Amino acid sequence: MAYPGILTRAEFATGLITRSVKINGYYLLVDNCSINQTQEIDTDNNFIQGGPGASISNIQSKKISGSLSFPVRVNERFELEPAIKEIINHSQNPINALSMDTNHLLVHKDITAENGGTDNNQLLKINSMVVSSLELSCSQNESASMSVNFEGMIDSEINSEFTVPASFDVLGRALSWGDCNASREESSMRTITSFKLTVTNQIETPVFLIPYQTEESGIASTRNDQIQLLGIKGVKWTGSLTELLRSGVEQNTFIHGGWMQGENLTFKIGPITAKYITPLFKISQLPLTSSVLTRTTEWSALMSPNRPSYGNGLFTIV
Amino acid sequence: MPINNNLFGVYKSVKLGGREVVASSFSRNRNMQASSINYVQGTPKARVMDIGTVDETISIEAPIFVGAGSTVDGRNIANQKIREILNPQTAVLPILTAANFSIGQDSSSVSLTLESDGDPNNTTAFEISSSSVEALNPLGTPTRLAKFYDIRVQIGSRKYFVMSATINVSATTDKKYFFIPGDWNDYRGWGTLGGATGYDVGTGVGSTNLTIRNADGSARSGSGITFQPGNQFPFIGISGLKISGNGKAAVLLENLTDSGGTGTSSFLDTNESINLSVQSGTTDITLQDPGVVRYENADFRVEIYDPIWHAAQTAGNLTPSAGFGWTSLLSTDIDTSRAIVHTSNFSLTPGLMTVDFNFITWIK
Repeated sequence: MAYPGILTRAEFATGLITRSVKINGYYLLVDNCSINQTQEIDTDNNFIQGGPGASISNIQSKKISGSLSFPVRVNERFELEPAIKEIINHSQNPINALSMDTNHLLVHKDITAENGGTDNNQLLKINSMVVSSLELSCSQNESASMSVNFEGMIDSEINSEFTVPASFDVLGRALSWGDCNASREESSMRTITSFKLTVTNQIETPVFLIPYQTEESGIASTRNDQIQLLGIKGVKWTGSLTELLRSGVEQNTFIHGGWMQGENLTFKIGPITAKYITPLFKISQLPLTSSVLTRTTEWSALMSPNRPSYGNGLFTIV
Repeated sequence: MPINNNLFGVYKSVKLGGREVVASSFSRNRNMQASSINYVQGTPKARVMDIGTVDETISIEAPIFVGAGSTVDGRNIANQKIREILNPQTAVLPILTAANFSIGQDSSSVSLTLESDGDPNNTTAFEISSSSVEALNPLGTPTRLAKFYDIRVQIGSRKYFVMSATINVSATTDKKYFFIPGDWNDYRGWGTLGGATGYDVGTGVGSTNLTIRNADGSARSGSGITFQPGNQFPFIGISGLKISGNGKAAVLLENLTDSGGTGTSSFLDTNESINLSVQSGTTDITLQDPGVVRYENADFRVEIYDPIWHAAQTAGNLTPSAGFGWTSLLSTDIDTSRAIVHTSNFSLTPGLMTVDFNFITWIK
């Protein structure tokens, strides 16, 4: 048993020691990875049972849930990190699941209620992950960064594959404000100071009763307390930007809301281009302060119902 | 501030017919039919009462447990009461009139309605005490609520993506009242001789039971040989039992092939729909043909995983037909494998597509 103090000369685990994550097999340097197996586990004592003690467990379904945040990086050839490409392309075209390898995330695939505590932990590949939301942001004071939320499950038991990447793979730099550009049909948008581009995928994770199978049929009625499916019910591409105003009002760039056909609201972040062909704008907000006046504008993309079923709907990457 | 936990139901436990049951709610309702009647009597005031029979119903909402608590859960008491209906010589009050098994993804429970005779001398039909339910002590086998991963189903052709099911076991009971036997000259009514208080009593109120005797005066053997005449409590008989239910399943529509010029986005080909029949010649409900009885091709099954049963099978190297570790949710005394589906309601929303269906089973 470890002595509870520095006298043990313990080597405390840090993100530098345990290394980062791989998305679809590609190494990704992250600021933060907070993806875990989650499950509602509680007690229920709302019964007539001869005393108030919590004696009955209530264990719901489990899934993978969490978020990644990372800088948007390019290598020395100005190529976007492959893992970021995978995440971006999946988020706008969520028809195939992502996978993630780590060497820090232990999971338990069997039924929690029957393997309590520390039994049967595994370091498995998270092989069915879906982006529930992605935010790509950049401002004049900060480098381009991405924050992504995931939902997922373990579809099959595959050991996490975590070979150390070649040092070449991690050489690069984060994209900065100087790598960005923005424009739209009616404005060259030279006074923009920050933007956030967001993809939101509405995910359902249903569970069902187990189908009846006989052992004689050769198919077992496999029991598992994970969610059983990941379904995407809705896709939204939205965004917001802030602009400095050089005079009190700028009559011809103020957006009073509504859609603008063919406006082609475009953001370039290094090799990434995001284009909202027909944005549906909210009314721009302009608070009056003692500082520089900053106007905020938000919008959603209008798109064909089946547009997310095909690639490159919002983002294209060179 | 005083602490008085005696006011709270969580500190109580309940037995029905001598069997311990853990439930989220019990209710015991007693009702004596009573009304006033006016005759041509020279005054509108209520001067005559019509006082009839006594009814007692007990309602329970009880969860379904996995683990040691499964011996005191709603499924256990419901199946015990179903067995009693099928074997009346073992039946004790209260008797089952309805048991609704609600099987869901997150929780499963049984809602029971039982009948008793309302006789205050019957203290075992509904007993309440302060005893802790020992089966819930986790030092034995811990107990948990049954979840989607504990229950498997096959309701007609529907076994994939089933989200919920309800099974309704309904018993028909008949209540009868008889005149007092002519040779019975013992005390009438209920209660302790001379000890009854709180209501208007006449001389000779007692509680002596009558025992049926043979013609030669010898004691008769059999069930129901002792009863108490001269009271308002019924004789309860069981006259019917039926099982029906309903369920909800997600619908899967997937275009796999494009045959017959139906277009690439149709679901009219074989195997392109699950839980909904859109292919020509297929049906969602169990249609009948002249002169024959049609039932669903697949046996009706709702089973619960039983770790104890599984362990016993493993130890005994058994291969039971019901499946390894799986046991019928309903009493194994009844065979409900033959069923018809008579309703199929398809619901198309932006979320999961679902179909609600109703079924009814034969009982063997």
